[in-house]
Order: sequence, then structure tokens, then C-alpha cells
Amino acid sequence: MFQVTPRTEVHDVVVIGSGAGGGTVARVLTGKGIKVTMLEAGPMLNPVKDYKEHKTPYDYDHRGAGEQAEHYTGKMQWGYFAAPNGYWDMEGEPYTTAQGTQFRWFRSRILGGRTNHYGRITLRFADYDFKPRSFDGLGADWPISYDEVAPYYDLAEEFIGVTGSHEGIRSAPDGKFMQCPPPRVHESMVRDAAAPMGIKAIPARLAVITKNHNGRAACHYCGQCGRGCVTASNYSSSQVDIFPALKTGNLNLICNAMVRELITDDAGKVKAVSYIDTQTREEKTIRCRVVILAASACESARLLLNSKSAQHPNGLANGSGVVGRYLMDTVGRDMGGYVPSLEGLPKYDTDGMGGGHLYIPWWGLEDKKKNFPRGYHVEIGGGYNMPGVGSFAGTCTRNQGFGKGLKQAIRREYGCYVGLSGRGEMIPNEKSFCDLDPTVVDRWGIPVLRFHFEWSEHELNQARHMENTFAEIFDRLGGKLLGARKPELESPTISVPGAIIHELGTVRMGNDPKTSALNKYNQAHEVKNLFVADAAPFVSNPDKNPTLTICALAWRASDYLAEEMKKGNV
Amino acid sequence: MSKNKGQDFSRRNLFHGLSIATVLASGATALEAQDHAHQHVAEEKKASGAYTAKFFNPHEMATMRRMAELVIPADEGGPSAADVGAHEFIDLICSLAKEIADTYAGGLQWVDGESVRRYNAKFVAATETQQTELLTAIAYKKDNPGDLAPGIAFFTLARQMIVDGYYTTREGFKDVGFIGNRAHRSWDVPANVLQFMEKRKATPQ
Repeated sequence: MFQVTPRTEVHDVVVIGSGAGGGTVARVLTGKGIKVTMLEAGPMLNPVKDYKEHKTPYDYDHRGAGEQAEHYTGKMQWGYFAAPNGYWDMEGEPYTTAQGTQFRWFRSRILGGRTNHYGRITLRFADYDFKPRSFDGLGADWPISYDEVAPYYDLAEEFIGVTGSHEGIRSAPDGKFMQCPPPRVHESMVRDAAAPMGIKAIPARLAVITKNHNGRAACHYCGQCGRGCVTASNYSSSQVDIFPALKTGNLNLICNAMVRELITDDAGKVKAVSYIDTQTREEKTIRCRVVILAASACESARLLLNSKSAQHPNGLANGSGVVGRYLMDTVGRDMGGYVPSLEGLPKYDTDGMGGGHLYIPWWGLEDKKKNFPRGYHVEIGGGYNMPGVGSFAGTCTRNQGFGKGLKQAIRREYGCYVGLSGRGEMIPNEKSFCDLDPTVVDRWGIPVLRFHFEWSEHELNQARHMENTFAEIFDRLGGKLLGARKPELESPTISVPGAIIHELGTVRMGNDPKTSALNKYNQAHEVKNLFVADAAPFVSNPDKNPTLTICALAWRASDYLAEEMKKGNV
Repeated sequence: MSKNKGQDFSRRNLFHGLSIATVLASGATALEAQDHAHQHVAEEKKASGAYTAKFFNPHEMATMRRMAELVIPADEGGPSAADVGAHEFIDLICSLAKEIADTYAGGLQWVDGESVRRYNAKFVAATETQQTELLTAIAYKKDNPGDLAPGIAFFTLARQMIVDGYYTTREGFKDVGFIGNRAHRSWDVPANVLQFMEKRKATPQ
């Protein structure tokens, strides 16, 4: 049947991307009665089919090695049981790196994006994190302060549900917390070993609900957050923001829509969004009143750079030239160790929440002797995890031979490994940015990004500090340090840029339109009906995982936008 | 265990006390869907009474079976890797990835060749002492592989996959003592575990 659609239909707000930023915006705006159309490049998520929570390896003939045995052929991108949230490499959608640059870009093409899988670590930025240049002279200050964002941290935490405890630590501001389950044995051991070093471990701040909340069931402690949670007991924008937003009737969700370009009118405002229906490869255009970009920091920058017009020759909202600049990732250093004093411990169910029950916030704020700015937090791993393909590869490598001896070694060493992951702040620099590759397009014909990246001495010194700290902790644990746990994503000294998947800063906000693309409400200085609500607006990348701040700022931007729409300013 | 005894997953346990649309929309039927796990081999075994090889010939299958039995033998903690079909798992993996299949085909030829050279008998026909001696020669060794390098490379993979094939079964879970993947109403470290740690702290090793 011939389908008639009114070509002149104008969508109120078009949101591009369905991750933490897009999901929050869609939920807040639809809750206010505003009609939202969301474009997602990937397919709809069906948790029932797509999540492998509670599965065991023996539920599959290949035991989790993958349908083409990818685990054994080195082609496994992410564990077989992980939530379907994207890949390091995507068929037909390349990116390039400038000569001498290493960069890994983990992208997601599915409703909810990377929130289906992420670590659920939910940390507020501290007061000094918003004013880094005032704090130590490096980087740039945000146009907003902690006090301006705090009410939105409250809202976001109360809505999402976050575990934690009140500690009064400046580097880790307290929030609205639910009870965190007690530490596992190996976590208590790390806490006790680190305490004499002046390092304090505190209850984890995870986006996991430990009591029933907003119609979501309390966590059942299976430890499998990373696989996606069928009871939505952790935060994912798909289940927690978007499915409820769909129920309002105000959200029009269009999946498999890869956005090519934002089209502007003669006044330079966005009037339409052009996208490719990835199922038919047809190009479609929808008209809009407002566009909110939340496609992930680098995709949002790419889209702006690809939206050139007479009014915006450098790309949309890019008169300042900062779009794509100041690209940052998190400094990562992961080390594992064998802790013999865990041998012989009675086995118990260590699953708990998916992630640590303790974490170590930055302790060195007053340390005048350290040779790097800012700081890092530490995540703790370990426990009696579900055996899977490759689980005992370390034991097999370190124990020669076979037979009863090998079997006993596996039994003895199971659960005696502890991992420490440092996650620290990178200072933005001029050498780290993304721009359009002049010669390469993806399978949709869209020019791709080219990455340029360099760690500075700040980051390298910080990674060395992590290494020395972890070595001392393992020493105090009576453990044996085993070095990097993820060699493919970590050089001998520091994580490969992009590998921590906290890439951000590429469409930064600021008060001065000459040095920033967005104002303090995530609104483009030059294009009043354009907002960016992912991590692209971030001015700095503190040692706190970005998701909570994405949610808080997206919520704040939504409130502002709704008021501006009411006033007729947008 | 935690204060509440671990429960098997059932709809009632996972959605205790909830009747809210959000949850139901997002996942109430998940558990039913999970009942339809990939159970191809299980179904096949049920129908025919045995696993049907997908890549190995009968001699290769017998060789892998024996190797699995030697790498992870039965003991007081659990059965052998062969008892739980680690060799069948490897056969299945070979049927999924040609490069793995090639490694096994060549590797098993090498093992037989070496066995014949040393003992004048293919691997399965050699004595247990001879089999153990040969595998010991190619078991993971960092230094001086010499002429044995191809055998070492093969056995490094085969040994790892036999281990995988064993520990990814119910029996393997039981062997190492994995008791997770259950639903709890709350989570805590059990008293006996805490007591054990207190005692250990008091008497450093």
C-alpha cells in the first residue's frame, strides 16, 4: 500500500542517540509533555532476547567461545555473554588514526548504547573538578560550578538509584545513596592493606538499586550487570529512561537511523535532520524545531563537522574551531596479582552487584610531592567468578605440566587473583583531537573521523604512580604482582588512548564563544535550537566516570530547553 | 551463603512483590526465553544416545579423548575431562573455525608421528607411561623447545581447550566450587568465611 506521510510534519525535538544523554533528555522532555523523536543508528533492544543474564557456558555448545569460536581465533570483541552494546571495530564503519597515533574507539549501535553494558560506576565530579584551571592552572574551567550541578546530581541519583555511603571526602562528594552491600573478602583485604598507606577504600557507588525503586526490582545479586539486567535493577538508558518514556505516548522512536547531516535554514538554524535508513539504505529527512545531539562525544563532533553550510563553513556550531578538539580519555593502568592468603578460603557466592563493593576515591589531593596533576580512583576486582572459556588461562600459563597437578593448581588458585584498576584524569592538550578524514567515507557515504592523540608527561607520570601504588598494595597483601591484565589495550606503561571508553570533550561548553561551542546549558552559541547532551560538552575529564555527569547535565539542559520553548525563544 | 539461602531463578523470586508495568515490559518473559537455551548437542545426544563427531575422524576422536583424560584426570574432586566430553567440545569448536581445525589435524598428526618415532606405536596405542612421557615433553615449556616446538605449540592450545572443556561444565563448576549465578534477597559474606579469615589473620602463614 502506498504510504502517505505529511512531508511538512515538523518534529518538536529530535534527539540523536539513545545512550545516557539521549535517554535522559527523552525521558525528561516527554515527561513534560513535549513530543520527542529519537533517532538511533542501531536496532531496537529486546532484553529478553539480547541479554544473556544467568546463562552458563554449558547452555551453549560452544560454551561461550562464540558461534565462530571467536574466543579461540582471537576475533572475540567483547565476551560472548556481554550485553550487545557495540564493538571496537564495526564492519563498514571505519575510523582512521593519524600517523604515529594509537586510538581505540568503542562504538555502539543499539538502543541504549553503551549503557546496556557499562560498569555502572556513578561518581559526582568534585567542586575543583569544575574549576580545574583555577585549581592548578591547567586545562580550562567549566562555565558551571559544582553548586549549579549539584541539584541535578541529586535528581539523577534519586531517579537512577545509586549505592554509596556518606564519607565527607572532598574528591568524592556524597550524594543520594542506597545501601551498598558489604565488601567481599578480597576487597576487605585490599582495604586493610591500603589503609596504612593513607589510602581509604569506601563503599562502591554503583547505579544498582538495592531496594525496589520506581517499579524496578531490587538487585538479586547475580553479579552479571555487564550482561544486561532483565529486571532493570541497574541503570541503562534503554530500560530505565526510554521504555518508560515510550509509555507516555510522547516519544517517537526511529531505530536503524544513521544520521548523516543537520540541515540549516538561511538564518543558520537547524531545520531538518537527514538520516540513512540502514535497512533500506534510503536517505530520509525529518523537519524539526530543536535538535539534541547525544550520539556520543566523537559521533556528535563528527556530525557537526559533516554539517557544513554557507553560514557554517567549518561545520555546524564551529565558528570557534573547537569542535573535535580537546579530546580526552581516562588514564588507565590495570594490574593483577596472585594473593596466596586467599587460598583455602571456604567457597562462597561472591557475585553480589556487578562490580566492586568497595572503591578507592582519590586520596592525594593534598600531596605536594607527586609529579602529576589531579588524581585517580582505584577499582578492585576478584572473587569466585563463573568459570568460562579462558578463565584458567593464567593458571595454565604459570603452571607447567598437566594431570592431577594441573587440576589441583586450578582448584587452589581459583578466586585468589585480585585486580586493581587505576582510572585517572587526563589534562586536555592541543595534540589530542579528531577531525574528518579527507579521503575515507563509511558504508553510508559519511566521512569518517581521524584521530590524533598524545599522552603527555602528566598522564605518563600518573600511570607510573598507579603502578608503584599497586605494587606496594600487593606487597602488603603478601601477593605477587602479575603485570598488565589486558595487554592488547595497554602498553607497558599506560592504557591505549580510547581504551577506557571515556572519550569526551570534543564539543566543549564555555562562556566565551571564541573558545567554546556550547553555552553553559549545552546549547550551541551560534545555533540556538541545537543542543549537545552527551559527554562532548565536558571541559575536563576528572577521575570520575562520566555517565552520572552526562545524565545530570542532560537533565539540566532539558529543563532549560523546556523553559526556552515555553518562552518562545527556541 | 548470604542471610537468605540462594534461590534458583524463577519469575516469582526475581520479581518478588512487584507488579509494575515497567519491569514487566522490560523483562518478565526473559526467564521463559532462557529455557530455550542452545541445547543442540544435548538434544542430539538424547536422540541418538551419543555425540556425533563433526570434524574428528574416529582415530582423532579417540586420541583427543585419551589426551583429555590425561590432562584433567578423574580424582576425588571430580571426573576427568574426557568423562564430561572435553574432546567433543573441541571437535565442535573445530567444526566452527577452520583455522582451529587445521591446528588440531596437524597437531594430532605430529603427536602420532612423534609417538611412532619414539615408541613405534601411535599415541592411543602407546602405554600410559609412554603417553605421559610424550605429553610431558611437550607440556608448556618456556625454554629451549628445540625440535619439539610444533608439538609444544599444539599442546599449549589443546591443554587450554581441554581445561576450558572441563571447567565450563556443571562438573567443572562443582570441582572449583563455583556456587554463584543465583538470586538473593540480600548479599553478605557468610559467617564461616569471616571466621576463617579472622583465624588466618591471627595465625599468619
